[in-house]
This record gives sequence, structure tokens and C-alpha cells, in this order.
Amino acid sequence: MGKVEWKRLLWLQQDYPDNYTDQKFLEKVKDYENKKLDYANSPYLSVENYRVVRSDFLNFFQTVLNTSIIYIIFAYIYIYDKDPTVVTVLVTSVIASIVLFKEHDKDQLSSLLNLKSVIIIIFSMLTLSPILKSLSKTTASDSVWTLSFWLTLWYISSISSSKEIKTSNVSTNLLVAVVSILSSRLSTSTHVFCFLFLCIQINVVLPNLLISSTVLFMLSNSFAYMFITHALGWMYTFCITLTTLLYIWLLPKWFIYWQVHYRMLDDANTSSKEALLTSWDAKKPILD
Amino acid sequence: MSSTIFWPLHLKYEEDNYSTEDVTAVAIQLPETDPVVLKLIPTKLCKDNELKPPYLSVATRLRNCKEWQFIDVQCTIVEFKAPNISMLQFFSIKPILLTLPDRTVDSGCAKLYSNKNIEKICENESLVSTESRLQPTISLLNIYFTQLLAFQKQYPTYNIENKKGYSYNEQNIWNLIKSIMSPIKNTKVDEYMNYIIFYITILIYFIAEKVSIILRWRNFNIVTFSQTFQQIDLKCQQYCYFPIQYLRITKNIAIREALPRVTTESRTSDSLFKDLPTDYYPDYIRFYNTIWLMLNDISFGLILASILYQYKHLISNILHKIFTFYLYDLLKMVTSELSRNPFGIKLNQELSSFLSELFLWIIENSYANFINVIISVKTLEIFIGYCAYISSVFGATFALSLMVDFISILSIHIQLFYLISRKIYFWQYNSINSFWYLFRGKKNNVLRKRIDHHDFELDQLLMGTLLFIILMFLLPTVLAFYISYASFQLVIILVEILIESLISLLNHFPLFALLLRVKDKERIPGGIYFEMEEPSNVLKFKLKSKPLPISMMFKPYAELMNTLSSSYFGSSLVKKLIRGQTIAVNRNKLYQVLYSSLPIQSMSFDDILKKFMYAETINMTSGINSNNPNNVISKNSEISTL
Repeated sequence: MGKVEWKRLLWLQQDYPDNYTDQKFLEKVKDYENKKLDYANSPYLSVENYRVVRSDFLNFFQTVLNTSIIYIIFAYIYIYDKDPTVVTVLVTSVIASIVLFKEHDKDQLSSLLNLKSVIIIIFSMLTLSPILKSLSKTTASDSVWTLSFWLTLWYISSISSSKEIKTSNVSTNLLVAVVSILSSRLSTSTHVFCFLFLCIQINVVLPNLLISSTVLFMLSNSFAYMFITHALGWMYTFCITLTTLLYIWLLPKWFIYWQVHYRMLDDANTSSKEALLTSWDAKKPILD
Repeated sequence: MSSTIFWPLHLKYEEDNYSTEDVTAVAIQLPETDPVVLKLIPTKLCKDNELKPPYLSVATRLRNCKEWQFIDVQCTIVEFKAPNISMLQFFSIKPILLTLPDRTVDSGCAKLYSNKNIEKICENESLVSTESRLQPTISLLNIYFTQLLAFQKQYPTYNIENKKGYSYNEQNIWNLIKSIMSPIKNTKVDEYMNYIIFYITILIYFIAEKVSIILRWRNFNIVTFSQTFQQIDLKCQQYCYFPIQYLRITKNIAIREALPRVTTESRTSDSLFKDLPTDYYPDYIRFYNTIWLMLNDISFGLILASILYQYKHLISNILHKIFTFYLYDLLKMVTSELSRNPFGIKLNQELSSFLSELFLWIIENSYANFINVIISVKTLEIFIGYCAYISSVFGATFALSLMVDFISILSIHIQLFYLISRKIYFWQYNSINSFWYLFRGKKNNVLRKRIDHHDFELDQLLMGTLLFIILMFLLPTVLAFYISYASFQLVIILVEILIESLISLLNHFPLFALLLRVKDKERIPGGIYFEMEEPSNVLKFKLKSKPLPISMMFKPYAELMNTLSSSYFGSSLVKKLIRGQTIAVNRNKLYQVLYSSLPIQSMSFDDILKKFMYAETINMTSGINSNNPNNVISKNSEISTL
């Protein structure tokens, strides 16, 4: 008899009962049962994979940490009313020395151009800081905090979503927006300038200079914890450290466990015969 | 194919005269027209003399019989009231244009059909008659009486006494003047007077043209700034156009008088239809409309002048209070309030105090130096007095124009404020726009007119974002100033527009056409329609003229109102305000639509001189004949027999 072959398409009127199960599917399941996936030798368990996953997690952590440094510096100037000039000079000289140390192999012209843009930025910030200072004088603090909070969230999400160039512009812009909005609360032009300068150096220049540096990582961590201890006390430091450790050590392992036990079932990396779900559930919708 | 015969109504009454004898209806039929019955002739007269084309007999009636026997049995009769062309009555298939052809605007014609379905039916090609006989036939109807005269001239034997006597009744004022002037006709005095009038006309034309050219000088078009100068320019253009209009009207009348010559030669019927009333008649309406409006203007001016003069003190006191309040007190109050967080809106303190100080300084200075002087009761009284003089001499429009200009001069500081705040806002709005692109990592590609992705350098990003944030924070402050001054300016613009609308009403009101409509609907035809009549042995229709709808007469006004409402009362105003575009009145553009009875390009002086000379020579030759209308016809029939 010439019965039409069953198709796995819901919207077709087919000459099969509603609870019909295709023979091929059953065969595949049986096969699958017999074979057993080799979890122990999963490609996800490799050292390579572990390193990639952990560095991704660390990068995100680093971003959040750097962002928090903005607020730490802001609190340092705004709440503790300290003079940021010394810190600025210190950080600037460190970064300048790093630049000089790294730059010696590049050609003369590009460094000159960089120097030019640095001068432009510094002078424009110097010029604009008095204006920035007066911007939100008549605005309530709460609205400024709310605005900066949402902008920060946006900034973190824009950074973590992808490493494409497309978003890098937006994330830098958002960062500058957050910084300038916060700086508009400060009282003197010097403070505004120092705050802007510091934040841009730490969040934009440094990560570009030292792409994955353990020294930088340790430094910023210790800086953040020192501040938390100083501001909130040991208890908070302990809790936050615990959370951080959980994040850095536990979460990547958990992620890999998920990769091995669930993702491998229908992973494109495994051979097509073993991929049980993908062969029956299309990843992309099939439009007949 | 069944033919259509056009039958004038007055012949119906004539029928009764021939009840005791056989009658033939003689018609004229040119190559592209339907037969039009000209005359009823006793059949016995007709028999010995066979009619030559274009004349033919279409029907006969036996004695003591009521019904006509048509030669074509299946014909359709269309009855019409023969238009008396000397009374300027005529039929027209299309509504006559009151505006000049090069000024006509498209919209509005389609609105003739109120129903959309009917409109669609009318557009359907299969339903639209391609037969072109109607237009020539209507043209033939329009010159019915001249045709009749020509016929009578060619077949004098048919002339029996016409009891009703449909002849020209030339009892107008020109004939009266002619009859008074007739003793000095063709004498030296007449000649000299002609020369003097001719040179005065030329001189006025010359001056008016030069003034108009100077006013519309390309580098400094003062007409766009000042209502008074626009008024002067309009009057100059009207004076420039008068002689041309007059020539056109009289030339056409001359041609019309010469018509019988052409009708007998059917082959020249083409040229006949070109010079029909439809073409020159709107000129006639426009010409007299302009003259009427000018006279009206002066009479209104006299009324206005007397009112102004009588209530000089009261008006100047009221105006003084209004001006002081609006131009100084209110403006000062708003400006100083803007620097003190108006309505709890928190503006940028530094910027708002800077701007309000700047504006307050200008307000104080302008008030102390000139507004104070101008709006004092004494100066206002003098100004109103002058307005009254000018109004009584040159017309109400000039006085009103002066008032508009007075208001715009007084409000010059408000205009300045508006300009300043608009410029700042416009600049800020545009920079924010492009910084917003930069913020999102995009930029406007001018060459391809699209938004492209772009990798900016770090310094560009930093600068751009900093500036973007600063501008965003300063925007409310600038916006507050901008909106306040824009509303001040808007009030002044609305007042000006109100007065200017009044002026344009006085300048361009279709008074003559309206009066014509009241007086004699057939003098301003807006199309034709057929009315079915009680069927006898043949199908009968009645051809009637539809008067020009009033909406067509006011079409330029409707256009103007549309432009005004769309640019000053609608969403486009809000859009303009938001984009920081200017909302000033562009007089030249706005009221251009009302200049519909003036040509866009006036004729050059040399051309007009030539035309005048030509007209002069024609007048010399035709003047001799025009004394006696029979002369023309006899002369023309002589030509035709040659």
C-alpha cells in the first residue's frame, strides 16, 4: 500500500492517529540507550574549555569590579570629602609609566597622535568641568542616583553581552555618561576633573593597556575590599568575599557540569547519530 | 445615427405667428457641430430658393398643425434660451476661470463631484463621451444672434418683419459718453485728448512698473518684510496690468463684432471658436473686479478714517495700555521669572540667569530708547491721525498695512528674542541629534543619506559623550526660553495674520463675480446641464446653464486658509517649533495665491509700448465704423461676397 510517509509537521493533515510515534524515533532511542554517552571523556571536561569558561567569568567579574571602583572614587570624594589630586597624580604617573614602558616598540607617529588626543581630552575636560559642576545643581540628588544606577546597569549589560566592536562604542559612551552625571554632583571643578580623569583612566585606558593582568586584578580587588571594610565593616567584607569566591570557583564548575550532562545531548560537536534531540527537534523552525 | 437639433426657446413664441401657413425651420450646421435652428420661414418662400450649406432645413410644420415633422425622424431636440451676447450671457461647458490660467491651482476641481462613486464613474474612459460635437455646438450657440444676422444678410428674401425684435440694446454708460462726445469726434481736440490720455497711461505704467521692480529687487526684497510695501507693489502690479487687460477685452469685442464675416465661410470655423467669450470674459470680470475693489477700498478707507479720527484719544489710550502690558510688563515678568525656577521646573541656574539678564538688558534698553517713545499716547495719536489721512486718500488697505508694519516694528525686540532663542535651540537640537548618533556608535552618512555604523576614536567618544550629557542637561533651560519667546512671537504673528487677512479680503474679494451671480446667473456660467422634458413625438431636453459655484469663486481663499491653518494651527506648527524652524510669516509666499488675477511676469515696457501703438492704429481704423453697427456688418458681408 502506498501510505504517505509520516512527517514531523504539526500543521499537516496526515493519515495517522494523533498519538502516532514514528518507528525511526523509537529505533533511535533504543540505539541511544544501548550506546550510552561517554560522560567521562566529554570534550567539555578538557582543560582548555575550563580555562575559557573561567576567564569569561573572571572578565565579567572584573568589569563589575571596575565599575564599582567608579562609585568608590565618587564616595571617596563626595562622602569622605577627600582631595583626589594626590590619587590622580599617582594613578596617572603609574599609567603613564606603563604606557611609556609598553610603547617603546611602536613607531613614533602613532605615539605622537596618541599624545595629541590625550592632550585634547585633558584640556576639554578641564574646560568642561566647571560647566559639568553646575549641571545638576538644581536637580534632586535622588534623581541623579537613579539615573546613574540605571545607566550603570545598562553599561554592565552592554559590556557583557558580547565582545563585538559594535557595542564597545556604546559601552564607553555609557561609562562616560555615568561618570559625567555623577561628577555633576561634586562641589569644585578640580574634583570634577580629577574624578573624570581617574575613572576614565581606570575603566577605559587600563583595561586596554593590560588585557589580562593578575597584578591589576589583585590590585583592584584589594582596593575594593579595603574600601568595603572601611565603609561597611568586616562582616560585609566576609560576605562579599564568600560570594566572590563562590562566583569565581563554583559557578564555572557548575556551568561545565551543565555543558557535559545537558548540552552534550544535542550538541553540534557530537556526531549527528548521537545527537538525539537535534535530529528530531529542529534548532531553527522549518517553514514548509 | 439619430441627430440632435438645438432649438432656441424664443422660436416657440414665434411659432404662433405662423399658425395659418406651412413653416420650415432653417438651421445652421457647421462641419463639427449639430444643427442649430436659426429661423422659421414660411415654406412657400423657401421652395424657390434652395438653401446652401451650412444652412439647411431640419423640420417642417403644416398649417393648423401643432406637431413638427422632422426630416430626421429619430432626432433629439435640445431647447435652449439663446444667450444674448451683448448682455454677456453665454454657455460654457467648463466653469470659467476667475484666476489666470498660469495661476490656477489643481485642487478643488475634483471636488465638483461630492460623491466619490460619481467621481469614479466620471473618470472611467468607456463612459466618457469622446464625441467632440458638444463643444463646437455650444460655441455656435453662444454666437447665435450674430449667426442669425449673418443669415438674414445672406438671404434677404427671407426677411419678414421680426415682431419680437431681438436686437442689440446698447444702453450702457459708454454709449452715453460716446453720444456726448460725438460732436468732438474726429476733430483736433479729440486727437489731442487721445494723445494726452495715451501718454498719461504710458507714464503711469512706466512709473508703476519701475516701482514694482525696485520693490522686488532680488538682493533686498522689501516686499517680504513690509506689508505696506507689499500693498504698494500690489497696486503697482494692478496698474501695470490694467492696460493689458483693457486691450484684451476691447480687442476681443472688436473681433466679436467682426464675426459675421467668418460664419458664412464654414471652413474658417476653427478660428471662430478660438475667440469665444470663455476666453476673454474672465478678463472682463477680473478687470472690473479690481476696479470695484479699489473703489470699495477707498470708501472703506473713508469710513475707517472717520472712525479713527473720531475716537483717536480712546484708541490711542487703549493701544498704549495694551502695548505697555504686552511689550514691556509681561515680557519683563516672564523673562525674570524664567531665571527663578518657574513652576518648580529646575532650570540650570547659571545659564538661565545669564540668558534672562541678557534679555532683560535688551528689554530695558529698547523700552527706554524707542518703545517708550513710540507707544506714548501722544505719538500714538499722531500715528492714528496719519493712518486716518492715508486711509481716506489711498484706501483702508494702506492704513491696515501701516498698522501691521507698526506692530512688527514695535515688536522687533520680541522678534530678536525669538530669533536668538530659536538659534540656540536649533543649534542645540541638531548637536544633540548627532551626538546621540555618536552615543550609539553610529554616524550620519551624508553621501548615502543613511545612518552608518562607525568606529570612533577614544578621544572622539569621550568628547562627544561629555558634550552630549552637558547639552542634555542644558536643554530644558534653553527650551523654556525658546518656548516662552516663541509664544510671544506667535501671538504677534496671529494678530498680524488677522489684519493681513482683512487686507487680502479687501484686495482680492471676488465682489464682481458675486454680484454678477446675484444679478444674472447666465453671465457667469459654471457648466451646463440637460433637463428632460415631457416627451412628445421626439425626445426633448432643455439645455440650462449652471452658475459658477461660490466655492469656485473663493478657491484662492480656501487655498490660503488651508495654508494658514496647516502652518499656524496644526501639528506642523508643533513640529516646526520642536525642530527649531522659523515660524515667521513669509508674506510673499503666503499671499501669492491671492494674486491670482495678476500675471506672474509683467510685460516689459517696450512690449507694452508696441501693443499700445498697435491698439492705437486699430482704434483709428475701427473708430470710424463703430459709430454705426450696421456698417460693420455690411462691410464684412462685402468681404464675404468677394
